[in-house]
Amino acid sequence: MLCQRCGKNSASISVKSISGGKLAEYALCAECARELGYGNFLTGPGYHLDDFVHEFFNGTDDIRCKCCGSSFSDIIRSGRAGCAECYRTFYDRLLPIIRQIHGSDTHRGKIPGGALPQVRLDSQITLSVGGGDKPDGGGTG
Amino acid sequence: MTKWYREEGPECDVILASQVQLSRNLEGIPFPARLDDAEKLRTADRIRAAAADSKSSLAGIFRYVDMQALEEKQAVAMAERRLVKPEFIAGRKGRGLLVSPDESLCILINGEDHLLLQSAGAGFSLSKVYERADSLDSILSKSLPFAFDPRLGFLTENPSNLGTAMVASFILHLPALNDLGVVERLSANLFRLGMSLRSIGGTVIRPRGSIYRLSNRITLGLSEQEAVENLTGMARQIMAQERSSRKKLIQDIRVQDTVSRSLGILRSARLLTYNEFLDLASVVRFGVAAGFLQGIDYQLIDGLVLRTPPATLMLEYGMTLTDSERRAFRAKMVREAFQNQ
Repeated sequence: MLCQRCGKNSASISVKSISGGKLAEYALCAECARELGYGNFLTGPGYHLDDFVHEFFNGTDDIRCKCCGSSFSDIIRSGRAGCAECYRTFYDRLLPIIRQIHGSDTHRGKIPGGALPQVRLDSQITLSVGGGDKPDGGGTG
Repeated sequence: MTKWYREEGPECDVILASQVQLSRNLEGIPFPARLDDAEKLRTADRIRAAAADSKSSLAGIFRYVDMQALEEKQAVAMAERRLVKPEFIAGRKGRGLLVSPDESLCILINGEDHLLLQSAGAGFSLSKVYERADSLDSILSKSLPFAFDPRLGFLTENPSNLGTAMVASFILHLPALNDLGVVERLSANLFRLGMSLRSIGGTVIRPRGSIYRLSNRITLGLSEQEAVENLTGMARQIMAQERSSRKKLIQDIRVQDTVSRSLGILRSARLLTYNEFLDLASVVRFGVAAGFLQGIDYQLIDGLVLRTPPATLMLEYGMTLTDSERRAFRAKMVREAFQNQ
């Protein structure tokens, strides 16, 4: 099935939305899903599932999470962990992916029952909108 | 009690609302997708008991809504006013909602994660909204063992939310930037800065009404305060860009004509689809914000945006309506609201 947004690429992600008073489902390609802010960690920027499978998943899948029974390939297939214990069970294998998603693997925020010292940013992020005026100042909306 | 979204907040010409969501899970049990119905019910009971604890300052604040017990249109109406995400109403069995009377504070139970703590406020009020979510989290963490790892932070079903597990958002009205065609580029720039800007009016593939959600994407390696500060700084810059673009655009007589015609349609139409209404309301709101239209307040327009989506409209009239009946009822409601404006 083709992506319902761009109509060019194959759809790989299903996104739920409300349309006409009903729950509707749209099929999107990974690129459109990313542009719209949907998708799981395997559709993140610069991330390729094939590279990942080759690098981290060597075909052995005998270890299972003792809490929920998930294997590492279950997590990769769904893009979701089965429980908190999954992170501990597959810590070393998940850490590179987590680093790739967030650009960091170290929590700096609140901890349950207290708070870590909050570090302020040294520099302000600034944004360039770019673009400038549209040649034809036609109707808004 | 007046719902939070019926109030007018600071900087409301651009910023419609501020929202903070904190995902939390309970230690020792699988995430909701791996729970059967009985386990979901037990989890929900545990969370409800913690929120209703008579010794806690939360006692008496929340009303519980069993999602499964709702009619389809009641559930859809919740998603239409953005109290819950569409995904939350897709599989309602075992899901629940603890909600404060003004709906500014709520806890979604057994969605993607065991708990989603949600705080919202009108206009530019992210710091205040964050403080409320943070307090709710601190109180609940005294009686619920939240899954946490010192290095990875709060543990969530989706690894993209690890760390603070916080998504902070501003809901923005950006008709001028949309008209100038710069939103896509802006969105791409924001993505590189660890934020996202996406349309939330209309449907996923056909955005309407120039309504956008600006939110943080990165949750690991940044504290909650840093994320809130970054997002607030960015919202200020976007706000300034939108306002200066509005000033320029409204000088054009073709734009003035579009604004006047849009108001004319809202005042006289006999049939209105919700998408058409969203587009026209957006243009009229732009006209008000740019100082071109006087005597119309934001609350009137924003109130109609919230009252006229299909499921919400049917709830308001207390009956099931066909598509064409909805168009007629919507047009009547809009006409009457604009009659004396």
